Amino acid sequence: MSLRSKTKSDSPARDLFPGALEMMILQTLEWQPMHGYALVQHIQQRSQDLLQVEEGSLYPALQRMLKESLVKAEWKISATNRRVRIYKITPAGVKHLRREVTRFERMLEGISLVLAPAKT
Amino acid sequence: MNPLQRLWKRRAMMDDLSDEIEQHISEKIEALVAAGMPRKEAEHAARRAFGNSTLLEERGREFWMWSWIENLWADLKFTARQLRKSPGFTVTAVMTLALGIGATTAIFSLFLQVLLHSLPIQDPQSVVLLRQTGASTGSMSNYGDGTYYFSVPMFRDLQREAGNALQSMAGSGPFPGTMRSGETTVNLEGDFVTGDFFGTLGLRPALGRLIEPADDRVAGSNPVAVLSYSEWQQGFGGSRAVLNKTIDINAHPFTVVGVAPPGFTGLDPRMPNQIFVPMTMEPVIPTHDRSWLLRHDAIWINIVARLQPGMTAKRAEVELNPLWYALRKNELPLFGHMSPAFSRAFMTTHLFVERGMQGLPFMARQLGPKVELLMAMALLVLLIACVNLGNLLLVRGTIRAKEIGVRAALGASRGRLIAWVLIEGSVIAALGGAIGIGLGLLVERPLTFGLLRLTPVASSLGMHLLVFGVALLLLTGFLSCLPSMFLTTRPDLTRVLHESAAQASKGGGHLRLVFTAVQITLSFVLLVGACLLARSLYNLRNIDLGLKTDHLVKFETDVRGAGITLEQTPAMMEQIAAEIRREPGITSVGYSSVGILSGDRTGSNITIAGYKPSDGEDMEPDNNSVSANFFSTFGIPLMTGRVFTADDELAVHKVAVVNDVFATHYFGGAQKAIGQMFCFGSGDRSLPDTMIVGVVRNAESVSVGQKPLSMIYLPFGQRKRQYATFYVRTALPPKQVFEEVRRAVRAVNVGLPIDDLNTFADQINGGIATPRLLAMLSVSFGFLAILLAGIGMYGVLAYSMTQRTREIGIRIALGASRLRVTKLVVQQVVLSGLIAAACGAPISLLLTRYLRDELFHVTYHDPWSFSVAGVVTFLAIAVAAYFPVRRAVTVDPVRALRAE
Repeated sequence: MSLRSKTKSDSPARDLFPGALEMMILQTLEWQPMHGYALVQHIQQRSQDLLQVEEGSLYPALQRMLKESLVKAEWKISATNRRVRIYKITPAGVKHLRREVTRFERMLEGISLVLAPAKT
Repeated sequence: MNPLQRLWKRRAMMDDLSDEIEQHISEKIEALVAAGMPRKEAEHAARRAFGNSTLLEERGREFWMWSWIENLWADLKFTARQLRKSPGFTVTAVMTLALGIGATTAIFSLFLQVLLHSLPIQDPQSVVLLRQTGASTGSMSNYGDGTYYFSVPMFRDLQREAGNALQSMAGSGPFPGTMRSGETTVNLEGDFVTGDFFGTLGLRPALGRLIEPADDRVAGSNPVAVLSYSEWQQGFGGSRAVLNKTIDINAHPFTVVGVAPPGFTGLDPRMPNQIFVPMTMEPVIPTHDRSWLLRHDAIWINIVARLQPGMTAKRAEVELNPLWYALRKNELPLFGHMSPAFSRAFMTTHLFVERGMQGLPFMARQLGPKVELLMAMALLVLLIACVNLGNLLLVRGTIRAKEIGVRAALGASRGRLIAWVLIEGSVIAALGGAIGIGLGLLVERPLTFGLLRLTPVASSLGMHLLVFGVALLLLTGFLSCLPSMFLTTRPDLTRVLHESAAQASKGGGHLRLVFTAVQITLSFVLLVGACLLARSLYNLRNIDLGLKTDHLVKFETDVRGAGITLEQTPAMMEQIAAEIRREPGITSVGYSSVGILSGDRTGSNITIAGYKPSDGEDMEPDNNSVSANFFSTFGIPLMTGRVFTADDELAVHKVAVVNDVFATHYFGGAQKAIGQMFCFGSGDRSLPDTMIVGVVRNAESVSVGQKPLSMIYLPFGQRKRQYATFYVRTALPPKQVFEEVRRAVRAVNVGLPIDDLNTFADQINGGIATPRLLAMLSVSFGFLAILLAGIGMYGVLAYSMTQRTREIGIRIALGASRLRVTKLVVQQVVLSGLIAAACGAPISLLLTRYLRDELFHVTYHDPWSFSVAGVVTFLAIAVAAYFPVRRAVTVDPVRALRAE
């Protein structure tokens, strides 16, 4: 999955850890069901452009989550009269999300503790 | 969603994904255009931002595709293609397994028949048979183990008092019957049954009604009869008009009141009954000179019963024995004054209650061991097939070492490689198994009929058979794969990918040797068994029976069908004999009440003047009422004394002729027997009134292969019967005389049945049908085994020779003579042969012990058989090895060296 973070100095992009994309997709869907394109827009906007999603990379992730029953999909007609596939999070997906978020926060805490200046 | 859902929705999911991606891109384009970008540029930008849509679509698809079922299906197709590319290997492997599984399945069906064959009655689990031990007196008539027989009065007594253990009881006593319906007269097997017989067994009529308790109350008053289903179909065309039809049974009119349900023919699977009549009709059509119905000392009926619900056979036995003992004690005085020794033997008695599900167990007892033997042989063949297959797979694995190496290098896990080997083995096993099961089912019917003389109880057993076949298939498939699974899936990649892919798996070589040796050993064992049985059969066919069996025609008849009384019978018999003798080409005619080598016996208690029998001594020699020229017709020589004359028929003074066994046993020699007196019966009322006037040489009389028994011959008129077997000696080829015989008998009386008209030689052949079939089957198995072993050896050698082509080429190029190279190369063959021989002989000795019961005049360590088996094995190895070795050794060294 190609999720890169763009730093202001345009240094070579760095791949984030796997699962990051899924986590963010699930969180977004928990907040509101939406279709693929909207998801991409949402993540980019919310991350204030710090994260650039290669738009296509969303789809393998979504397919995998569909297979594992973390999300459900349904074809609907959108407000703009297009045929779009809306993804909704499932209860299993919610549980998975909570777990991943907890793990992520713990990892983050651990790293920051190591990186923090030594306490005097 | 579960795997099944995924499978169905696969296509839909993949289409959805394509749609979705299209939608996304077009939405992006619109957004960019709305923001002011020109359309063309927007299209490019959108696609660029999306990334490699094809690749991403492909990756998205992956989640729907690579479930294990997809993998499996792809592997199967691949395997099938591979197998088709090497037809030689495939056909060999499949047929090897097919033959092994086929043989085992076929024998298993026999096994099931003998073991599971149960009477077609209701709830067979709670049906029991009674059995008794203890001395007996008087007369006995039975068709097998005498302990299963009782007297009718004893049965009635038991029936009255055994209510708490047994829900209901019934008796059944078979009798030979002559049935006349209209113009046709046939002999058939009848059964006297008590009123509760069909009720106890829970049977319902196919037509009309069955025998009921009301039919069994008053002696002689209910001449009703029930036909068996097959007799109804064959003898009466299955027509309903048979109801209330009058037929003559043993010259007495009976009314047919019903037909028994299909498949039921009485309690003895070996002897199907075709007609059932009430027990109380016995006095009207007695089998013996007087009625046995009320005699406490006439032992001739089986007792079958149904247990009370909740009662077990063991508990019933415990409960019934006190009653049984008491009844026995009451019986003793009825027999007159008996010696204390006899009284003791009589009261040393026990009543057994046994499972009655299969009816009388004589067939299972007789044939069970034979079928077990065949099963063991079939399993050995299967084992050989299995080893063969394993070997073939191993060889194939090493041949394809390079391919396996490539797969491993590309990242296939060991698990995948093993799975791949397993799949290949499974496909072969499935094919071989399917063919094998098919073969087995095909052979089931003729085999069952040939060996067991039964038509197989179809349907339910077919299912068992199928399940067994499939289980066998899976097991052998798996076992065969094991060695290759472990050995060929661990390739040493560097060596394998190197050009000379020769010795990729070294360990396989030794294992192959061992496998081949094992196969040869097992084949040797089977061949020894086959030789032993074949030799035994040969002996059976050629033993000296003490009779002249050629040019002899026989048939059975029963005068009751013509309404002849017992008194008139001797004259009638003589008339028949005289009439037949008048026909051209007939040399002599004799007859006897008991058929020779027919398996029938008649024995009675005797008392010999001045002879005190020791404790437990058998005083019931066989006896046979014969015509005067019986001995000359059969060519039985007289040892001392004289044979019967016409005067003896008139029975003024009772005389008898005995055989050598009798004379030696009771008197110590033939000479000493002349002039001795004896009589039938025992106890005080017996007055020895019969004089022994002659002693003849022993003649086999019961069945081929049995030791001659004590035999008393009596003039037919002296101890009359209403039935006899005629023996016609002719100068012409026996078969030509059949019509003449029929004509002669019919000329005497149209109502006389002519039963079982055959040449005596054919009857004997029929008598050894079972040993013959056994020998044939074991020879087939032996042959099959050595064939499989030979194929296995050929396959393995062909492969190893190919491997060593280069080595051989070098040796020859360096100057070694072809002979030396041959010797070198043949080492492997000789080594396996020696191992096989070393193991084969002791194993055979161990196993052939179990054949002892089947062997006739052959010891189980018969050196001739071992030698023959050894020679055949050696020849097979030689033939199998010849071609590969020759090909390898006559190789052109230049070509061999260039073969890289």
